[in-house]
Amino acid sequence: MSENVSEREFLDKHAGLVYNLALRLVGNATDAEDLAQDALIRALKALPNFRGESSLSTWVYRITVNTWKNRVRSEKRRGLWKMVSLNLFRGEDEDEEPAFKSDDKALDAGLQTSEAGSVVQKALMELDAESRAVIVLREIQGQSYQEIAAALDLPEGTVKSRLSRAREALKERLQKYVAS
Amino acid sequence: MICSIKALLGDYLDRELHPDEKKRVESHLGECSGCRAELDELKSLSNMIGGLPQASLPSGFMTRLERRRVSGAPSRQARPWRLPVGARTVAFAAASLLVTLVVYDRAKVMLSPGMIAGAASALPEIPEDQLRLSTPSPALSGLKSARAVAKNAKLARAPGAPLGVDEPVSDAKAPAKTDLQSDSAQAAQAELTNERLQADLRRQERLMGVRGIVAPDRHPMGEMAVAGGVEQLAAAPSAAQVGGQMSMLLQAAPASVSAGRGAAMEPPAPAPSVQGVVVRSETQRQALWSARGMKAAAPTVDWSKRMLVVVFGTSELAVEIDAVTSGSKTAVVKYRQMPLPPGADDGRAVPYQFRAVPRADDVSFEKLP
Repeated sequence: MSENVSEREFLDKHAGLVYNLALRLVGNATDAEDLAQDALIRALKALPNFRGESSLSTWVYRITVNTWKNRVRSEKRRGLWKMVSLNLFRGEDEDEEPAFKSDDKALDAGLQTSEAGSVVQKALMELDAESRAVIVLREIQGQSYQEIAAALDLPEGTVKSRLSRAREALKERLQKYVAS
Repeated sequence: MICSIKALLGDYLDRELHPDEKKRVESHLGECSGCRAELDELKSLSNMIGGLPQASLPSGFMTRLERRRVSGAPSRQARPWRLPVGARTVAFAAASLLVTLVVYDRAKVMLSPGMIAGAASALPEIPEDQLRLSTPSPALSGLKSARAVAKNAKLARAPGAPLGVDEPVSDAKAPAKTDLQSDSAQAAQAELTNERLQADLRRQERLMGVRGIVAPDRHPMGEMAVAGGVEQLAAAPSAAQVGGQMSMLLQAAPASVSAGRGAAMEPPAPAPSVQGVVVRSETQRQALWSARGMKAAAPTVDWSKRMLVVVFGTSELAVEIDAVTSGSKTAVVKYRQMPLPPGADDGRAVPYQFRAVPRADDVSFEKLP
């Protein structure tokens, strides 16, 4: 499978997807580039060993999300900038604090094209990390539950419950924008 | 009444229901206005999130990616932990020893009473649009004002605190002149030297802490080199692109600054070290202020629209931000640097300037002649 995919083809097809995923996960262009490059470098290194057990995009999404989660954990350990919650990745049933406090939103100018876009991105950043990953993969990347479960290494049931919880949280935050 | 079907609406919207369940939901929707409204909300939400614009890759993304692949440079966030603790400890000890020798040599040759960092602690809060000089450079902003501020704060006499700029010191424990002759002056010199050594060690520690967050892989003119555990940039460009939430350019290692500043017969000092930093959030600002021991009043910045650019001088160079030109994506910080006047440097404080500017993805620092 992998021998049919050259590095150039892989990058042409997936670099943009990975960057956009990273952008929605971290909320600013600079960190998104850093994360996307880390993920792509890891993916390129592992590409020869890709067995085709999932689609290539699911596989690279998984690498991206894992890279991001490792960073969040690392930042949590180091207390770096205190941009992430100390309660990340505890367990799906525990109450989780927002990963990014509202005053840490760090939305880059130009990232959103409208006020609504800006509000949506802000609301995403206020979700806990796992919920954000699930909703971004579903709503922005268009992944199925099965693909999200594979990307995040979670059971499908957990994906469903997190998605439902994320939607509820977003509806609450975006109440005035969501048509009733 | 809460319908049990409501819990399935998300899965229905996502087309993830079993055909039988799908039929059940559709049948229910035909007779339940509450669930129809709920489904509409979910659709609306989905459209809002899915409607976020797709960003194209930043300019130069692939080039930077390729450069990182080739160089094997770690990411900005991974770098601080690249070296094992033991290696970092050894590196820190070596750097501290070098700085100690530098400071000791300098203290032997000259004992200038003036420095400027102390003045910064007494500066009042400045409106963000008028942010200019946090630590007034005596070479650029006038010795008198810095002297007056330092005098008012009585920093010149505080144990371990930086001295005021050219401040005449009447306290017997502190030296008043650079050419010490008397016993009391020599005793004062020894005491002050000791304080300086300790202060410099603390400063080095802070500096290393700051280096842990450097993003030099975005520096187009110099590659990152890890030598002896101290991260430095090899090149000394006059202008450098930096990016990252908090990024820094290093034009030379502080430890490389000559110790012979006070010795007229020694060769000129090597290239000076000037650092540019971009701060994009309050947490980063606090970390920087803490890491660098900055005394300036914390500016009030709307971080969603603005960021701080900071230029650090060195123990030998004063800096001044001359202008900042901002576009929608880029900003250019133009600064000047010039030697501190004799007597304005006690070897441990670093002048700096910062300014709040509109946010930009790419920030470059350009040294003006």
